[in-house]
Amino acid sequence: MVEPTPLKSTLRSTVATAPLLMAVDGDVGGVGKSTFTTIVAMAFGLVDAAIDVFELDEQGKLGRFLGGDVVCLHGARLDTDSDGDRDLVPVFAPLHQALVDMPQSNRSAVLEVGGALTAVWNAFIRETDLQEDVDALGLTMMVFLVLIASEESARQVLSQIRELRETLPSAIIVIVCNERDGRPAVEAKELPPELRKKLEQALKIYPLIRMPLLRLKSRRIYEKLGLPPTTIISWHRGHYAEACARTGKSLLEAKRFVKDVAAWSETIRSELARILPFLGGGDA
Amino acid sequence: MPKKLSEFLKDVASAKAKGDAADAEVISKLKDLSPEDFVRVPRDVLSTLSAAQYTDVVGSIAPEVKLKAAKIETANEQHYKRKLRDYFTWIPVPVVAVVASSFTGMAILGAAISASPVQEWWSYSTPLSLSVYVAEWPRCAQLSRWTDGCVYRVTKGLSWRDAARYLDVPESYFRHLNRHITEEQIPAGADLTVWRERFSLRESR
Repeated sequence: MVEPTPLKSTLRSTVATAPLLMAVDGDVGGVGKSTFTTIVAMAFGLVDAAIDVFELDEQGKLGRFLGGDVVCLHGARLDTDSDGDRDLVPVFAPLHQALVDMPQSNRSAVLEVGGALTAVWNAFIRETDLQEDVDALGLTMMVFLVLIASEESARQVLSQIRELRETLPSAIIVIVCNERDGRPAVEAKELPPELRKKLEQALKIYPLIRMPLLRLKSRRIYEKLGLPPTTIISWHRGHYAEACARTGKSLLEAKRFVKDVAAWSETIRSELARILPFLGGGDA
Repeated sequence: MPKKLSEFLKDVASAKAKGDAADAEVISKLKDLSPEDFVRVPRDVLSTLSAAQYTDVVGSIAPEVKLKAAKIETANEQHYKRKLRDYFTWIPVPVVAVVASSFTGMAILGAAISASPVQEWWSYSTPLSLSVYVAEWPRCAQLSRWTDGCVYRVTKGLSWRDAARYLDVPESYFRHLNRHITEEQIPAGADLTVWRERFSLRESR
């Protein structure tokens, strides 16, 4: 495995001096990419750091959580021409434009790569030589690979690390360990030996972000509501009237739901701020 | 710190505190139940309790029921475990491989060196008893330093010296033991008694 890009120089960067280009990937559907992207957008919003959110997906899940500001890249509907080739440039044009404008706009951008659309994203990186653009514009690129405790997820994450080391060598890779189905680092012992060894090595080399388990009952309500955590947490101010009305639960249950979302989203936000210190408010 | 972040952190702290109070209220209500009412509590209510909370509730409703206390790691324990893990993962893999292979090699060498004495000790640690009548003794498969308490039938001519050497016994002793053979060369078909006077003899006839 290729040695990762040293973090020292980029960890202390701020959005003001170096807007970030981020991608949230993991290929397998339902690993928590949209959820994590929502928290990323929330964390940037809390420190007034401008961010554009892109979604390479047809589900529109992010739009539900973040409102109409999400730009949907219609990669899943991409048709092939008569030669069997797909023209990716129009699909990624809004993202590419945001990237080109970054040095002037100082706006960061985050792209959520929808389930099973990693190949389309990888093809775009290769075809447009994204690394060249990132270098020319002096941008910092960060890729969050969301990992759950499953063999398929482990394989996808490792495969994407290999791909990115080749196509985007300057990208900072961060592994997001979603503990929904158990702790990926702990559950790795159930994997085939070769895969386990590679995953354990990757978990040692790359920076990690912990995405804790949200209590099942609260997770169901959270996904059903489709609201940003900040909105849900603010319900405590109005004596939970909004929480009771929106969830249809008793006051006690509403309080527990809001508490769960508060604790869970704050953990992820602070984990993110550990990797990107400006999100902690110190440098912003 | 930006205002939004500061407000968010206040909201989180407040929501957590209120949620903890709600948790405490649920637990308090559960603790007031009789055992009969407790078993009728919907499963989804109980599933929201942590192991420690459940133990606490059961301990209050039915003190005679002893549940295994949930193991909660203290921050110190977690820190110690992490330090220990970091300590071991810090050792470079080649060093671990060299040390492990050295230990394995030493273990194999030790086993090889001690095999013969251990086998000998094992063979003779429990004394056997043989019949006083040599005719009842078992046949020896071969003549070796381990052979004892048996009768060997010579298949082809053998010198006394070679036989004693194979058995690792003094030739004179072996000749005396087999004085029924008068020839200078042990002839084929002769029965050689092999006995190192280590076993007790018993009257079995």
